[in-house]
Amino acid sequence: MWIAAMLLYVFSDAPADTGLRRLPFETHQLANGLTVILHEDHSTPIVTVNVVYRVGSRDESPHRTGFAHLFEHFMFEGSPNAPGNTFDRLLQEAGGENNAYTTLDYTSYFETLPAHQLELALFLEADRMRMLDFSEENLANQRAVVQEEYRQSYLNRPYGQAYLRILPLAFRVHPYRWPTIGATLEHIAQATLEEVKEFFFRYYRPNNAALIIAGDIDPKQVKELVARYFGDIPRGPELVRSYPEEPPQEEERIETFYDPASPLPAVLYAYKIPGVAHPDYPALEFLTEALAGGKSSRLYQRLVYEKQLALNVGAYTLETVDPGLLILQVVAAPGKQLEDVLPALEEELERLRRDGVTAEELEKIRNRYETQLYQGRQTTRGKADELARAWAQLGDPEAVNSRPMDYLRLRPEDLQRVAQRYLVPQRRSVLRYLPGSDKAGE
Amino acid sequence: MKPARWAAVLGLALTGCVPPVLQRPESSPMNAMRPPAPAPPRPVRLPEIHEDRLPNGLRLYTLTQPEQPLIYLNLSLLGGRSVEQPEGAADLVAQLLPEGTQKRSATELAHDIERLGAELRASARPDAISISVSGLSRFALELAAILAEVVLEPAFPEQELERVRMQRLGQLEIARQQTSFLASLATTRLLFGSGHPYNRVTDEEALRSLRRDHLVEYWRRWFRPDNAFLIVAGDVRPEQTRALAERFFGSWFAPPQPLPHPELPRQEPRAGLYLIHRAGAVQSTVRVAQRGIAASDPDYVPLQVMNTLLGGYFGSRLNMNLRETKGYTYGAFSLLDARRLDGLWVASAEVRTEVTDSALVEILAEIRRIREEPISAEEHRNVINYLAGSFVMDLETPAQIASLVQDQLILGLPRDFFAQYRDRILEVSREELLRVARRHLDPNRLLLIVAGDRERVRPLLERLGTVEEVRF
Repeated sequence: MWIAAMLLYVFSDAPADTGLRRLPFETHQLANGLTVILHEDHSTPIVTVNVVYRVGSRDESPHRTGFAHLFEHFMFEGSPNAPGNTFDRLLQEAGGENNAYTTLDYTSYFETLPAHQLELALFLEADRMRMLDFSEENLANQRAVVQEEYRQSYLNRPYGQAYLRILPLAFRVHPYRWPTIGATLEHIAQATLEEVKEFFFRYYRPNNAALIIAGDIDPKQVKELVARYFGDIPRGPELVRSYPEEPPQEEERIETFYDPASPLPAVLYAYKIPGVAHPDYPALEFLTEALAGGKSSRLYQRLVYEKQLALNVGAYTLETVDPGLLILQVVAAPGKQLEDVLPALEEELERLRRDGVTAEELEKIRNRYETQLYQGRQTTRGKADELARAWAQLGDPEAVNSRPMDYLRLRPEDLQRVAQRYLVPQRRSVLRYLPGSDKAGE
Repeated sequence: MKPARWAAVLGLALTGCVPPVLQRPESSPMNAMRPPAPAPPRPVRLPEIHEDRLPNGLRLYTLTQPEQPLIYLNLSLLGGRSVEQPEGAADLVAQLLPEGTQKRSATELAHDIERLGAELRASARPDAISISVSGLSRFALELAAILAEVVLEPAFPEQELERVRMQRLGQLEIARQQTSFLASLATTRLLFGSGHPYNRVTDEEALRSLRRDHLVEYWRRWFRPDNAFLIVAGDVRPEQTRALAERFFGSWFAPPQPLPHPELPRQEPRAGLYLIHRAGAVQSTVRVAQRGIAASDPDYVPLQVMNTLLGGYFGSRLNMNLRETKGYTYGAFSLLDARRLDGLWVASAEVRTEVTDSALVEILAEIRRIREEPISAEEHRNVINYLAGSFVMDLETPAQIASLVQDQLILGLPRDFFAQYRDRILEVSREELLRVARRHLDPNRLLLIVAGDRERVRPLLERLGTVEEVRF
């Protein structure tokens, strides 16, 4: 039994002011609360199945950080009708690729495979949503694997600890204060099977998930398959979530971290910004483009080309549901100190607040945004992921069509306004990431 | 997340790469049901590639896929790093092409490309230099004009060369802190040895000694229409490709002198156990490597299947053993890197320091096992169906298909190579897998290469044999 919530049809006529193409889809909900989103595309004989759960590292206990990600690994360790490594083995034999990723807010699982193999992916995703093989041995193995992932991606890599350091500096109360990989290796090493079970039956339930199927499908036939495989998975508890609210930041925070494995000085500026659904968010994303998007961006031109003070520059937002961060990062050029770099960086930020962006600059950013949007929509995986994120972060898959409009309609004064409001020193946390070791021995 | 598919472990280019400071990363009727069996792979229809040629010898390839309003143009020149003189020249030619032309400065070029929302990339690989531009198809004309200007009228400005030299030295300084980079560097140097066209690394010495005239000389010699091909893919028709090519590349001149070919010395590297020190490393990078085959070798396809089974996918023996059974690593892989003239095979894993020797022992055991024990029917079926079935996923975007066409041309593969590819994979038998493993994997020719903390790793390695410490 499924309840048709709404059906959306393809509108070939896009809004006149941008000429943006629609991403067509239809959606319905099963009686157990599972949201189903279908996108039909017959241009390649491929299908992507994406199951996204609204649970991320913000849902962890402060004593068990990194747990949502460890749990994601455990999801591949076997389910009642696909024991051991059956999940991977069958999908491989079907010519499919599969993976998953965990963020601060949600966890996404996906398999991309030849379209005629769709039913296998639905069976496997339904089986592991219904129940897992809670085995002590599998948990022990994945605890080890995730600790190696931690070492490989964060501890044994130049600048790898910047992310681990900037979050607890910027957030003091909200669970965004620890990274998805976990605050420490110990938290991962201590996770128990009991905790895994509890997490599963609380969060990994159909009423906390969406199933997205994108590609070469017949929606009518797919709806029947979905009802058959997912229809009788029991609902979980109604989740009432509340996260401790981060108090407003009143003054600049500065921390220095020494890392002998990162030979050139670097700096991170993390500005407090609202979450992805906020009206100011699109303008903030465009500001990251103005500052560091491509070689023609302001910081790249000034710090890398003109002054040769920096090796590289970067800017991006943490895409978070709750208020998050806009991060600027600069790695100094060989022979330069942070003291050489920072004045020019501050000047560029001041110039942005004072003069805003030009009409030509905004047109460039719009064109880059549009290109990237279409590039993401070249694959069934990209389209499924876009729909999954719209549901998980913005609560509505239709955001894939409405939200880009908010970006393309931005005016230069919008960018200047958010620059003046958010890119100010009292809202930021500064991580000075220096080579060598702390002489003071702190 | 599982590790992404093999990023080329020997990717020593580091061109314009940003160091990753941060990454973006009951009961029911269903019980006791059997999973639906995977259906057999379906034939794959390769999209039609339209071929054409200009009078000056420039080959044109068009792939029409208008689903998204995007266009991708790629111009490649054969030779690449294998013909560079001195070391690093091709690498820096590629990096400096987007940094200024006779008409536009580096800054103007960056603004003019990005204003269109487009991206220009140039890179040198062992056998070719490729310059590509991708963007919205409504700007096709402007994009083609920029591509041609960059290729035909580069300026190689002195000041940009100095800036790039400084940046690359900084990137190397960072890269040298990474055990994976040090292991890659050692693999290239030890495996190919002096005088081999694939023994190419743009290291500090190369960066310091390269001059502008080296770049100009490389460009003069290798940038000619009869040594090039242009692939245009996406929202574009063959007649558009022809018109764009005639307009922008039509007067490109092919000089009369023939193109030289690189020499290929056949000296064998010294097998052994090599250690590269990296103080304070919390993990070691372990590599087991040997010389491999050129892509034209008749065993290329069966050897690819053999390598996939051994270390080329998540379900491979190496990954199942070192990650899923032992928990030594986040991922263990192997790579068959077959190039135009020669190639290599390498197995790799990043492991916690205390199991450095155990990881090597397991890799060697898997090499022994694949040469000695028959492969089960189930494992054989799993790997050939995986490769044949997933091939369709390499054909999803215009840029992906363009990259297959590019590989076929650069590696000198037969024209129908990718059209036949799926069927050839499905024909590879269990006996053939055993045959190519025995023929091409040789326990006596293996180089064991470890990058890690000498103090902690050396005592472990000495249990396995004589350790030779190296620096590059």
